[in-house]
Amino acid sequence: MKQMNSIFVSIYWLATLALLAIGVVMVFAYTPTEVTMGPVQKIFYLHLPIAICTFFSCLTVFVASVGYLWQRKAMWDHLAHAAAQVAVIYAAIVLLTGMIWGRAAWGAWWQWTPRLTFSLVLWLLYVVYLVIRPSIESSQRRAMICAVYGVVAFLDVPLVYLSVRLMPDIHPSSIELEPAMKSTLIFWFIPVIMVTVGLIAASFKLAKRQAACNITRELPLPKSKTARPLRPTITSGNRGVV
Amino acid sequence: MNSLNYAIGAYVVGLGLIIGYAAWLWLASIAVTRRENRQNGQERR
Repeated sequence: MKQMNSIFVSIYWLATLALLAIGVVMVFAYTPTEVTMGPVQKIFYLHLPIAICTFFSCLTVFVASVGYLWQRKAMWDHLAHAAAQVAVIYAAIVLLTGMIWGRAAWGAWWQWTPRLTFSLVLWLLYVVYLVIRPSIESSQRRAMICAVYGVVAFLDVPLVYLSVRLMPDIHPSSIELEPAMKSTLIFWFIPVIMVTVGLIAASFKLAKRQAACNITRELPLPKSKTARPLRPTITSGNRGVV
Repeated sequence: MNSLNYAIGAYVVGLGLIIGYAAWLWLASIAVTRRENRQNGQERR
């Protein structure tokens, strides 16, 4: 059963890598260059799917946090922790690829517009989620505090999504795409979603195994009945006698 | 800097972070496996 599982995981990751490679080839060899923005527009095919999957990861943290507050089961805390790690990585990718695009398109690495500011706040919120975890020793207390925090932190996600529609922003709210560009963008969602699910699953499995190891370490080891001390204990009656 | 270089740089950064995190998870998994084997070895004794 374990062997079948590891074969499935290997095939899953090989397929994901293959799809990512095909996606990169599609972006640079198949998709036409956008007329207004030029080749830098090709960042869009990575930037948008990663941004959507960031929201998905944050939603997973929110659902898992609610699950823990409702059922008080450790597996919800492990899932929230796993999804938060992926959310931090993905939000960092969104910010960095956006900054690179902004540098080329607007001439500036960063502008304090609503969308960009709320995105930075989103990244910081989940970084704090990961930072506070090791500082709380009790696993139950840690899970409770992080669950409450995970629910509150999710409030920034709709702000990020709606900000560009409700407030004036330099960040584009929609882009016109040719058919080849649309197909490339839709294709990129497949490997990015596979990577997201795979990373959350792997991180969740790791968190469960780490928690199990810590519990095992706390349990006293059973004493063998035949075990004898290496040296005879010295009592007041036999002092000096070996 | 060429506009295409910005695009290539963004993909290198983005995919590099994903691969880096996946590698970190894999190494952490190996460390946990070693810890589990050590603990199983202690219990068997």
